[in-house]
Amino acid sequence: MEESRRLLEFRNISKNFPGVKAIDDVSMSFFEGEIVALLGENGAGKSTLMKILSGAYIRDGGDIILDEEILPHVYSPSDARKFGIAIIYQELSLISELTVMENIYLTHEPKSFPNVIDFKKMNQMARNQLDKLGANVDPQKNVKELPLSEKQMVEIAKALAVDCKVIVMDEPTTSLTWEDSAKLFDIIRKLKKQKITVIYISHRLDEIFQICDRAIVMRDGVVVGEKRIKECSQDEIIELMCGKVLQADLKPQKASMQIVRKEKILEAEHFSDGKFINDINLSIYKGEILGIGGLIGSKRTELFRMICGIDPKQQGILKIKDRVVSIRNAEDAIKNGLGYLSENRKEDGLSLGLSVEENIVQSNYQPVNRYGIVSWEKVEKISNDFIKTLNIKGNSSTKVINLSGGNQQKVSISKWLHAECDILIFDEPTKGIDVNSKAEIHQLIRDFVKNEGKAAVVISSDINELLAVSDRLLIMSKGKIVGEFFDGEIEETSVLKCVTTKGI
Amino acid sequence: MPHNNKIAIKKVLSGNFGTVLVLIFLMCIMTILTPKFFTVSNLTNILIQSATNAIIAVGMTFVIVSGNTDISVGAILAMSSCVGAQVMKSSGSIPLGLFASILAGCALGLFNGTLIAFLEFPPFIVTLSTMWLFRGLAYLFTEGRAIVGLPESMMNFANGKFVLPYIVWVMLIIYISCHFLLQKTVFGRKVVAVGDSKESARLSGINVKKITFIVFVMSGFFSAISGIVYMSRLNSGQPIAGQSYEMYAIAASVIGGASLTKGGIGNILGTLIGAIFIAVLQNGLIILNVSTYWQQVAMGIVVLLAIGLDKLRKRMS
Ligand SMILES: Nc1ncnc2c1ncn2[C@@H]1O[C@H](COP(=O)(O)OP(=O)(O)OP(=O)(O)O)[C@@H](O)[C@H]1O
Ligand SMILES: [Mg+2]
Repeated sequence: MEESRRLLEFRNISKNFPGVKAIDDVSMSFFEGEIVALLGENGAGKSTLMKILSGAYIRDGGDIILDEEILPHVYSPSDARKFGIAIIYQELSLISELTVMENIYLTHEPKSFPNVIDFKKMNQMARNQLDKLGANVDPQKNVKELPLSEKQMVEIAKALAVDCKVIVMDEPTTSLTWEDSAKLFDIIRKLKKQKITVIYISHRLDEIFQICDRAIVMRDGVVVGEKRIKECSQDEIIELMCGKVLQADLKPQKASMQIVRKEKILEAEHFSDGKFINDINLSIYKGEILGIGGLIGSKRTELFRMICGIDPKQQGILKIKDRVVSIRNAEDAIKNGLGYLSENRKEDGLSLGLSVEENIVQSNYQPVNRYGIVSWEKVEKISNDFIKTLNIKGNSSTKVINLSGGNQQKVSISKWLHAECDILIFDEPTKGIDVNSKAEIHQLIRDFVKNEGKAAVVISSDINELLAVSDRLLIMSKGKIVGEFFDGEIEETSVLKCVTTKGI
Repeated sequence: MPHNNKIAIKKVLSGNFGTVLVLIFLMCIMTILTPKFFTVSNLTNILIQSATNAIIAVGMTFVIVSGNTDISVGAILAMSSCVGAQVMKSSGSIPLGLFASILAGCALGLFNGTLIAFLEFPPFIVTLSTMWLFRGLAYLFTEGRAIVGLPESMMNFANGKFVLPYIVWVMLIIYISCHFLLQKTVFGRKVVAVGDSKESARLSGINVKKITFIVFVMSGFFSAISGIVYMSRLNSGQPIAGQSYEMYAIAASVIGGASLTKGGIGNILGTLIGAIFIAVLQNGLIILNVSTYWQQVAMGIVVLLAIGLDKLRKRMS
């Protein structure tokens, strides 16, 4: 690596938001054809630094040097693309009313006549681009019709569709399954061969160890260290990130005893949506955490949204605590003790323009409701408790949109823990959450089901998470349940085998 | 609790600080330009003149904060006040007339609300259509003539005062209670949540349809109240009443901090300042003898300036 050319350099970059020093005098360099991991806890400043690079934010001070040229102090994202900087944003930036191909080639559409878009060619090009990623998405579909995981693939395809020298990937795999992540890693390795520099942000350390050459660690807006991946261990990196040694007991905990599956808390019978999901039956028992795994297109999110009354069902009987209930919307579901944490905080998981406290109480106004009047004192107390237990960087009146991605996710989780539901369905609960907090959230879910008469479902694309938290694990594929594992049977090889053989 | 209240009050004050400054600035200019402006009687007059718009604008603010628009309010004002006037005239009973008026306003709001909340028609198109529809019905109902000959005491109400004119009291009570409703009640917070993100609100178990529906009924209700004030001041029911009031109401909300493109923002006290701002401008231009054509030009420019200055202030801080 030593001989290769220095491609990009940050010199003394700083950026303040009202009341927050997001980036504080940061300097770092990147070399040609290098894959660099940018690591740090939630709110460390990673995304902010990358948004400065991509022209989305204007830095307060410092220089960016690309290819031996100092970039101007103010430039727009489209300028950045001309300089050869591509970025995959943490919060997807697709336009939902446009088609997949229009999104991929937005502002650099192939033209036939001077100003007429050549849709045929565009379709062809988009198809090729998506094929490279192994993504089976129809380029002519509207983006809003796609599930989150496919949107993520389109976002990646969009970034790769321009020629670039540097590509930034801000948590590209949070909603991808391990199989799709593997395809992405192949592409990243190819980019490396083409001498393209990849800046890779992720909270999944195993990914970092798979593909990265070097890791730069940030904390509270400053660089705290740098390691060659080959010469260090995961624990060393975690220590750098959070400034202390990870306690052994922070590692995810299994239920201390085998779960006694006596009482069913929820039974779903004959659930169909008339499209992809056909006659699914499943039960959840009191006291257990039920994990749900599967590849893209397994329709797990769709299944649970349907059970919770968020999307319409064609057919299906739901029993909660042995009583048949009719659930037509989320309001009914919550009344019956059933809550659903959305996998997509930007679209329907959070009210981004509102404060942390307003988001948290949104799922349940009961505890703060005094004859119709909101007791702000209580609202503040409740949210401060969550801010403390979940270590959210921000205060109760901060607007959620001004939090870092991981901290937003923590607000989302707080909201559902506050809902006082008996059954919580966590769809990608730790999406974008750092290593340390991840273990804490797993512990919170575990504590939740320990209470009398509670149960949780964890839908996750992260196999390690499923292995760590599930008492029972269901594998879904194409709208069907294809495998079931109990307590002791849940271990990596057999689960993966099930997914890959039955999953296709 | 007191500590918390202080924070809340501070928040509202600082949120409206820019608009208040602009309003004071405007009043200073008017005072310099004409001695007739800054007198007790003229200032009271301004408050009375602002009342009809201000009351409609309360309903409008709820609608806008919930992420919708209602441009049928002027027509609802006309229709409900005509119905009220007719009932009052033929029965001779003021309470009955007021009740009929409010009932009519709520019914028309309910019609809008049903189409928008439950049948999911787009709010702009629905209220554009019902603006014509209700206005047409008002003309048909009155055969195009004003309904005159209302009981004496209606006039007495319009002219009566207890320290402040009764009309101003009505306006203030509505503002204080609605500010409380939006800021402090569960209902109000749900309106804000729906406005910020319909989907997030829906998934959190908020009945988005119900909230949307109620907000449109409220808009009808406040249009009717405003119609009653209007009716008392002219001592008649007028089918042409409230022409282009929707625009003034929207302007008042937006000057007060609400946003037509993004729900979830806006506050009732800001709207009051907006409504008074508009009334000051209209009043001042009339006192200054500006021609009606130039009044419109000035109106457009000053409203743009007010919003622009507020934007600038927000960016600076
Ligand atoms: N637009 C903004 N306004 C105010 N504060 C902001 C804004 N964007 C980010 N911040 C703050 O800057 C800090 C750094 O945020 P950033 O998004 O860069 O973190 P991150 O390292 O990407 O975290 P994560 O792992 O959670 O994505 C956080 O404290 C955040 O609250
Ligand atoms: Mg981030």
